[in-house]
Amino acid sequence: MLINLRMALKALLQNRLQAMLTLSGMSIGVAMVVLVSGLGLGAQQQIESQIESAGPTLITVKAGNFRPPSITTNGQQDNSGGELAEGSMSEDDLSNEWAIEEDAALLAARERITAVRQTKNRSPAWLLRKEERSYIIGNVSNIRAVASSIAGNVTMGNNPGIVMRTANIYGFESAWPEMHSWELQDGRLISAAEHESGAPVMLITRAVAERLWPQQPALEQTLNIAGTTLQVVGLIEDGEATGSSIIVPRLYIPMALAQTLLGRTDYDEIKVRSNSVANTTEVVNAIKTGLRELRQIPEDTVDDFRVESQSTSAMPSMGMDPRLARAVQSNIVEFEQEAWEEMALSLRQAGRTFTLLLSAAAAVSLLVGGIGVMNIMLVSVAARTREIGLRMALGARMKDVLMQFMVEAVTLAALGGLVGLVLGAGGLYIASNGLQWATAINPSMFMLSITMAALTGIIFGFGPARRAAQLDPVVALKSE
Amino acid sequence: MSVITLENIKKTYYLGDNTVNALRDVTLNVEEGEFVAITGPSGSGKSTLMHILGCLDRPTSGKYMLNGNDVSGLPMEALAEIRNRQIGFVFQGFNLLPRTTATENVEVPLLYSRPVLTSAERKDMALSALSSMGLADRVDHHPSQLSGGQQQRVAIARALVNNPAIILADEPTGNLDTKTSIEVMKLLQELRKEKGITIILITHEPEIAAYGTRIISMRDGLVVSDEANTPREDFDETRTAYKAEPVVAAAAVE
Repeated sequence: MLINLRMALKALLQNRLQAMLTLSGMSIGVAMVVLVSGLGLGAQQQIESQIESAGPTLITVKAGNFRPPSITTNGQQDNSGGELAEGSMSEDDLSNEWAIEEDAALLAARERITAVRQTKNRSPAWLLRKEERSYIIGNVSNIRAVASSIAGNVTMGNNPGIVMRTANIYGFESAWPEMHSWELQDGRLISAAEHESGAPVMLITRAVAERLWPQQPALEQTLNIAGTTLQVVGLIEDGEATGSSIIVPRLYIPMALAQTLLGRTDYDEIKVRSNSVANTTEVVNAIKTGLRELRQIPEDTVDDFRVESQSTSAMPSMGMDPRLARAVQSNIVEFEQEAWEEMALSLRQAGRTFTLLLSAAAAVSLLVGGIGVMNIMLVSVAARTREIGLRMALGARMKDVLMQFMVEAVTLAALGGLVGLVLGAGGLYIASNGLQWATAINPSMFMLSITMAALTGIIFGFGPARRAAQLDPVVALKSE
Repeated sequence: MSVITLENIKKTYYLGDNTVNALRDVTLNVEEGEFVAITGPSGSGKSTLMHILGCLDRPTSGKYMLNGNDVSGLPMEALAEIRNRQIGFVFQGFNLLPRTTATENVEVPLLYSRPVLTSAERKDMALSALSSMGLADRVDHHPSQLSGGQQQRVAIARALVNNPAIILADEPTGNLDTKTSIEVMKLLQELRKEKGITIILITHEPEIAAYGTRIISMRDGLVVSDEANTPREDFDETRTAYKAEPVVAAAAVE
């Protein structure tokens, strides 16, 4: 084998110009394959990421069941499911009779909770606890990020020049800004370490900043909140309507600090980002199952929490008939899922067609390269007929001759493949860094292109090699 | 002991509608250590006989015993092995691979030997064959850097490297001048004497045939004479003039 390789290299070197030309043909073919698979894969990944970023991947977990009653088939509203006011109740609220009695809405809610249900039982709503957050992070697969939040009003300390006495503090975790597409306008975000330690820093919106410090830049200003001095480190655009957040200024602060200031250890919301649209429903269901287990909710009792995907929560504000809204809402996760999957499918198909077209072009150039290999091998066999006859006279069997020329063809093709690989990788580098095209490099792709080159050598080298092996030694020896 | 026994060997070529009886009926016996010179004009069938003796071709009919084994019906793959082990070829045009060193040229038969030889073994065998031909100082030369006589000696070294029982020399002096031709013939005689190798020499030159111990003449595919000969021992070129006649290109049957 090794001697065959040496003989092949020698033969190619003796035919330098032809070998070089064939090699370049081959390398163009392989370079095309590398380039095309890189661009195709890149385009597909881009499509995939666009599908993902556009689709509903954000899941909100809230305490309390706010799911509206479903509509029965005869159009009658099924009122068996009660509603719980947003904000829900803590254990304290439920035990302190006076707190509930003072609030008619809460009283009504409590009645619904404790009333005998026609179909399913309901349990009181417990707030989201630390263990539940840890459960989601540790046990639910296909999630990309988890962040919880907590909000509440606190009395501000004495702040010279500021008339407001109450602030709405909003604790959040480091993944939160990305999930809500917060835009940083000035300064910086709160670092992970600051979130961890509960550092006295805060983010505010520009509107709030102008209200608090109308005359001066807000960055690095400080506020005394219930005895703690917090410093503004960044201005953000939180994408929420202003209004109430200006009257009672909303301050975004690290979760640990917010919990300390509010004296709570639980969360209002836990947001989960699934890693792809396709997995959203699955993640929602996994969270539901997990929380039911943690909360030991019996089979005949409905959830005392809500797990919603993005547009489920957006629905009620769309101004349609409430009954219709409810009907749609209760099915929206699945509905949306299907719509998205269909759209994603057609996008993926478009991407695949694109790749297929490019691959066809690559295959053609590989074919041309292969024909080049076949050509040079035929020339080589013809030019070396006498040598073949000599080798046969000296004892070479048909398979020896076949092997010699096959090795030569494969060596040529593989060398071309190697050069093509370098060219293709260079092309991909230029495409991604110079032209800013989406590319993707997959190591198996490189293996594939070399294998393709070698295969081309085998396929197109076989004919000429067989022709050499089948020569009659007497005739071959006499050829000039 | 008979090295070669041919019984009623016939070889017929069919070229379209024409039938060419290259060998009509050849029966021949060659003993070990003989130096047989086969002569004859073009088209006499000597080249065809050479191809059959060399196992490059198979007879249309008849029996060929080589070293006691019937090889006339063997498949080409088996014949390749016999060529490799038992026959050494020396050609008119030397047939050395160009741009390849003398050593590598001599190694070629060893590449096809079974069991497989290591490259070190091949090299050792090639080098000793070359030095026995007095070419120890030319082992790394390419054919283009060697004289005609040296090239033919490399070819003889290649024929000897696998220790064959017979050497088939097809017009070995055809491309050589008189002086070198005599050297090559002397070399072949020495091989016969010293190693007992059977030598079959194909030539159309009577002066070259005279170096053999036996001269067979052929004409029209038949043996017309078969005589023992006292081999020429004089190697003085000035006393001979056998290059006087123009050399008819060895077109032969081909």
